[in-house]
Amino acid sequence: MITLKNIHKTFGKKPYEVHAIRGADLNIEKGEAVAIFGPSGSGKTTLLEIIGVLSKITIGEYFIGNENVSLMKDSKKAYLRNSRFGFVFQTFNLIPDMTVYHNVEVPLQYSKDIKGKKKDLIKAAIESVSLSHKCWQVANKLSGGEKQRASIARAIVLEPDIILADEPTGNLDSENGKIVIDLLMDFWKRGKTLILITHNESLAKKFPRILKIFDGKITYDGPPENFI
Amino acid sequence: MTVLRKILFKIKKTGFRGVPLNFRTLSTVAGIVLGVAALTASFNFSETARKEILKSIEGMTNDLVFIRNLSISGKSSKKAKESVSESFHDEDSRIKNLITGKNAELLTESINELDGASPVIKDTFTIMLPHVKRNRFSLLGVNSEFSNIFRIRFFKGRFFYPYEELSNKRLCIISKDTALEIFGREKVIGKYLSLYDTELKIIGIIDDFENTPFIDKTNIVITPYSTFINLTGKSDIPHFLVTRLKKDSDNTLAIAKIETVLMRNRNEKLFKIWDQNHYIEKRKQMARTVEWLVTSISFLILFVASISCSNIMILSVNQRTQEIGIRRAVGATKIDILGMFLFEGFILMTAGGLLGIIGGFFLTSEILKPLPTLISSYKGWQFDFTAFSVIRTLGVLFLIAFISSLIPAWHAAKLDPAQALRQ
Repeated sequence: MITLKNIHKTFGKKPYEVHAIRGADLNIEKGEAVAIFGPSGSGKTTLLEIIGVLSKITIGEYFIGNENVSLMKDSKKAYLRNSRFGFVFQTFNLIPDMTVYHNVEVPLQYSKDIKGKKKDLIKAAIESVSLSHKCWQVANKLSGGEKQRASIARAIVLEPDIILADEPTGNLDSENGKIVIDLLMDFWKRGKTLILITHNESLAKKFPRILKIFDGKITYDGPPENFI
Repeated sequence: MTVLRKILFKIKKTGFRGVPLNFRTLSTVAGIVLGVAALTASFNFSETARKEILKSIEGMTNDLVFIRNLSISGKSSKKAKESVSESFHDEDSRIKNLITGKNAELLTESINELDGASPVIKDTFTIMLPHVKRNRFSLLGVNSEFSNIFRIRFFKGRFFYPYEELSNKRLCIISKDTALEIFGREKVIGKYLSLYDTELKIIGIIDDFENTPFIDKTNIVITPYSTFINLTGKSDIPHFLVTRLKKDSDNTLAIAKIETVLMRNRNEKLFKIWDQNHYIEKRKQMARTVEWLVTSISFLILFVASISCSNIMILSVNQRTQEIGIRRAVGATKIDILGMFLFEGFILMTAGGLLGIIGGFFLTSEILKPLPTLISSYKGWQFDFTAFSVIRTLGVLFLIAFISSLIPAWHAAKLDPAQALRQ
């Protein structure tokens, strides 16, 4: 479903350019759960941003299904992000002065193919993360765990194929971290694809597939059993 | 309703969530309000000025020819006349060369192309009456052909006949506003007007006559030329002679003939002849200049307002970079983000614009409308709040709102989603 061929990503201009990704080849099938593991600055987030069509590739080719993402126009990329991906970030990235309801509504504002009533979809997504009682609470008044659950509700409201989570437990205590991981795993168990970045090796090992990145290169791609 | 709902949906789709109500927004709106108010008032001023200038030449024909004495001894024309008056009996050859009232008859008799000629001599007088608000009036001394030359339309009564002029009859014709100011709604014909300790019988009330820049049509009293000279003791040196050319006459040829006739008994040309063409063109140019000037100033005002609007939009974009990133991440296109900020700018400008137009209305009614009573140059001008000025202001406003919002909005739309999320 997701195919990356010899992906390179550099930031800045010569001679000060920084190579974030150096020749990544990757293939992720529908329904997989992949943990991306690596130290800080290794390029995990950049790789996730490339997969989530948030960042342009410097060199290489990126396919979703048979479609070459690198050649797509901005509007098509936006459509792809809206319809195929759900994002969960370490810093939650909720719009702080908007309520949970309205934050969850944001992806629907840009959706061209909503199935069912907007209100029902939003309420169902909020209910699935057990936040119905905080539905009309402004985002910046929520606790860290609640913020992340609201962020998950926003990510799944349009029932995307793929959830991209960038260290979703990084800012949470272990109890809330567990709730969040359980919610994401539930999503995967429903047949969706989950790609998650983590520093936490024990969390990474819960995933059937681990990608280890070091210095912009994928140094390990396999099951947790062989992961050292 | 469906269309409105569609528009509202489109606006909501851009992610527009209203404008933050803080000091910066309020001060920006205040700037826009002032700018727009000044702009609306300026448009009203320029529109009125243009209309009034053009009105002053409306109906002005090119077949009136004027002859005026030039100044002598380097003095202004007025001073020259005074000096002439003081030393009228001096054997000064130069004074002999000045135009006199009698030259009007000479011109009519000698030149076939002329349909009458009249001297015009002016003075001002004051009537101290408790009920008269504007008590300064113009007294004109003219001959009987003046009525025909200026196509006078009478409200009541008539003009004086040639014999009445020749016999120094103490008569006068007054303008309608003079009649109203002095006598109110009383019957005026046959009544007497006391000037220079002399009673002048009113025989006519003027409704209107042909426009000319050289005679103010308001507050005038007209007497026969000879009566004027007798009353005021002034010398026979008119302010100017005026003649009307017959239909289809050649102006250049007629002017040349007038010059030839007037130069017959003169050894020095101390007069100037002109028709109204030059004046009409000058006034038209003045109308264009007023409009251009006011429009330029107005654009300057709006430019400042637009910088202010642009500034707040840039700040808004900077403050909401992360939100832009979030929205891009969940499916907003560049166009959506562009629309969101353009709409925000539009709302700012509309709020400021509408309040500014109300301000413009007050500026027009409180500052411009009283101008004609305060400054004599604007006498008779009517400053109104016109729909045209509102339309023009709104047009300029939305253009500037669009331009001032476009740059920050485009900057926001251009942001790479990942980069925006990291900020």
